[in-house]
Amino acid sequence: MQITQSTNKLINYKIIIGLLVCWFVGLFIFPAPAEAQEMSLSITPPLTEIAIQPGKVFTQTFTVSNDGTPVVIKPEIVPFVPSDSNGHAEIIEDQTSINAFSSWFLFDQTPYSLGENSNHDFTVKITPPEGTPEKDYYFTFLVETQNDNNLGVNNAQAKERIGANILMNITKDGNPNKKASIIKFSAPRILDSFTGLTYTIQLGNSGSSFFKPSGKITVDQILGSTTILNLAPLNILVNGTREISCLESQDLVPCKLPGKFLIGIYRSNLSFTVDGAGSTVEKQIYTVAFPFTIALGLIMIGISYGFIRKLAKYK
Amino acid sequence: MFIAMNKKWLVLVLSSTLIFASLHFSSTVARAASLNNTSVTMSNSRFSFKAGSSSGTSGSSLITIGSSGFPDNNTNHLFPGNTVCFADAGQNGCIGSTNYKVSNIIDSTHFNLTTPLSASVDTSGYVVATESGTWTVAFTTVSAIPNGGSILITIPMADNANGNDGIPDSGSSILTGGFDLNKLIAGNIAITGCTQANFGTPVVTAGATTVDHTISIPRNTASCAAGTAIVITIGGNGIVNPAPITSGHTQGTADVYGITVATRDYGNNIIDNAIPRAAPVEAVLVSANVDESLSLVVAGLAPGTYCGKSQTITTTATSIPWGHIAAANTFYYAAQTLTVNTNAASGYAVTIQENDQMGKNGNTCTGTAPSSGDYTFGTSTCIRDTVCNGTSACSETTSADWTIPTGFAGLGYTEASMSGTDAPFFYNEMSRTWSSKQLPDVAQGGKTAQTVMGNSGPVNNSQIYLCYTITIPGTQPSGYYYNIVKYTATATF
Repeated sequence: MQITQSTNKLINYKIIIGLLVCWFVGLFIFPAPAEAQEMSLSITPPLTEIAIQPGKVFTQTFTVSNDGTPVVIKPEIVPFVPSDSNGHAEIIEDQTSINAFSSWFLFDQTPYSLGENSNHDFTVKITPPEGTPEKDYYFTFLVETQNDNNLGVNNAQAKERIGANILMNITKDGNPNKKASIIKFSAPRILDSFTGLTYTIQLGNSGSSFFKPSGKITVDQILGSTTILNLAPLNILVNGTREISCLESQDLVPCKLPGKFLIGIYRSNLSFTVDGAGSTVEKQIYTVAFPFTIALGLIMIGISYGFIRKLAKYK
Repeated sequence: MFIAMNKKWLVLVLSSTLIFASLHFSSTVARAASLNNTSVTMSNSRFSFKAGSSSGTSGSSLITIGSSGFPDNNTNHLFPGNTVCFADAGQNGCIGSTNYKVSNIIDSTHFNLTTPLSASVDTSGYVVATESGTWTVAFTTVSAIPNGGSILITIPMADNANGNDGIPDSGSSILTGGFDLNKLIAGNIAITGCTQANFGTPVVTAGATTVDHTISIPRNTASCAAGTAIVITIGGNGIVNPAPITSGHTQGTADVYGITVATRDYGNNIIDNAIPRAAPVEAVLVSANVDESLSLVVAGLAPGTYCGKSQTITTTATSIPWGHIAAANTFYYAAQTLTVNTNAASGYAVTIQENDQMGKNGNTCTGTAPSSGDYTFGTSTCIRDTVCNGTSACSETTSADWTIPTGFAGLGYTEASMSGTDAPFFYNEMSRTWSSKQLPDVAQGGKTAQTVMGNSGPVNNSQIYLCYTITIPGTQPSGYYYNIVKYTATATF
């Protein structure tokens, strides 16, 4: 009887050990499917435009939301310069440049653990010191994910950064010098009637403060109708230029004259003011539209017809 | 005998006459039945707003309303964008015939206008926001409407009010409250069904004192048969809805008014009638604020085919784990997805940069190219950034085809669109097999971060594959190589 009991116990142990081995092996043979992992940060507002007197305080709150897996984020503010004429920023990340402005900004720079579907408000107090020269300063409020040291074998780690641009004009009297120029306003001088009339507009800023153009292109067909194309109010930074689109409802679209068939002389007048005030800056260009393709087609038909007739006579 | 006969005839004739007369009168004075399928549909069932104008001075846009004794005693039923005007205590139209728009509601008794007042308000007067609309009265006749008969619609009017001036009215109860005809005329009324041409010109009679408004539509030429559907549309300036009753009204609960619709014979006796209900009620303001924002999602991918190449490893949002690179002079592929949403009017850009080239155990790879061979950077060992099929065929700004793994070792990347058109270059552009670029080495190489996604307007779920490639020479020293890639999303200024 004792032998039977100990044999049974032994069998039970064997079964348990066997099940454990199967489970252990199964972990490797049938690994659990990897769940989707995302870094998903959003920031609001993405652009802040301020004019401030030296020594005064401006407070701005940036809300960072996380819709992905929990992350640790770290905020910082870095200067930027325009990288092109399309409104893109090139972040300046050398420590000297960052340190030069660090006293302007007061905010909690401690890394913050942001859970899934949560958000955090970063309140930034901006105080340009007394005596700061009156001009524009451009910064980006950046939030960067902090990676753990998940060192594996031959690895490229990825970090996400999301930034909100700050356009700051330092002014003592609130009336900075804003000066605009037309760098380029062009369209084909002669075009085929079936080719759309598209304008290229590039405006420059030679003042001491960023501004937005407020204006339009008035297209008069000589002895015909008048069409208005509204300029998009895009920021033009100091000493920079900006390709300007047109505004259709709320959308930015190329500045293009609507219509499938153009004929005659078109007088196009670009006019705008700086931030909707002050004197108007203007330039006028002319375009002649003619159905060259139709004319060419008719000429080709005529030549072919003449050739066939000659050929027939010769025969 | 003759007299007896005459008497009998006389009795017979009189009896017949009485029977005939009783039959005749009983048929003309019909017992009124209920009209079928009767309804009154208001195109706008919102109460008019009518409050006391407590204060508001010329040149100011701030208005204060009274908090008791008026149909509306708070601003709960006044919304931004509503058109208001100010009437004096005698309700003699809008002061200066001027309308204003509500800019925002400050609290329960204050609101702002979008433009300043051109004249001060009458502090004993009213602020009104008129709500009016077209009515559609529909019914089906039960009995015929005879030639010479009519349809009569009776609309309640507020007692002792001017019920035809366009200023909303109100009473202390449903019985004493009612609608304003708003200068309704016959031409504003249309009728369909039962041969429209056989209805005459409607007669509109505005109410007075305690008499309600009526609209009478005569039937001419021919009768209108029983069982006919008739629809009457009352338009014009629109009948003005009353403000809430001043006693016992609960906001959110309709004040229900009975509208009497009747058919009548040529003696104006009612044939059939019904009392459908018109029930104005407070509107509900649904509002939401949408902030301008920018979001970037970085996600890993399971093994599969991306950018036209097979990926065998699983990437995560934070790493591209190449693992043990088993074979030299062989391309390995790995990808991530980037997704951007923004409502910023002028769009966004996502840039890419690396902190350095892939250094052995994280050592620094000074410069942009090896000082000798494929992987020697001074005293450091690195997996270099690709130069594609040539000594400097591609850079961080210029793409080139990268199809030869032997002799052209390194790390590079390319792109493919998943949704939208925000990728600036593609793996198969210009009929190439694997059009690639270097990762911009900002810290050690002095390069500039490069745009990998961008748009000049708002985007909804713009998405790309960002596909990495690596290949090493057979002599690459063993070890652990890594670097850090950063994606930076910013709005276009």
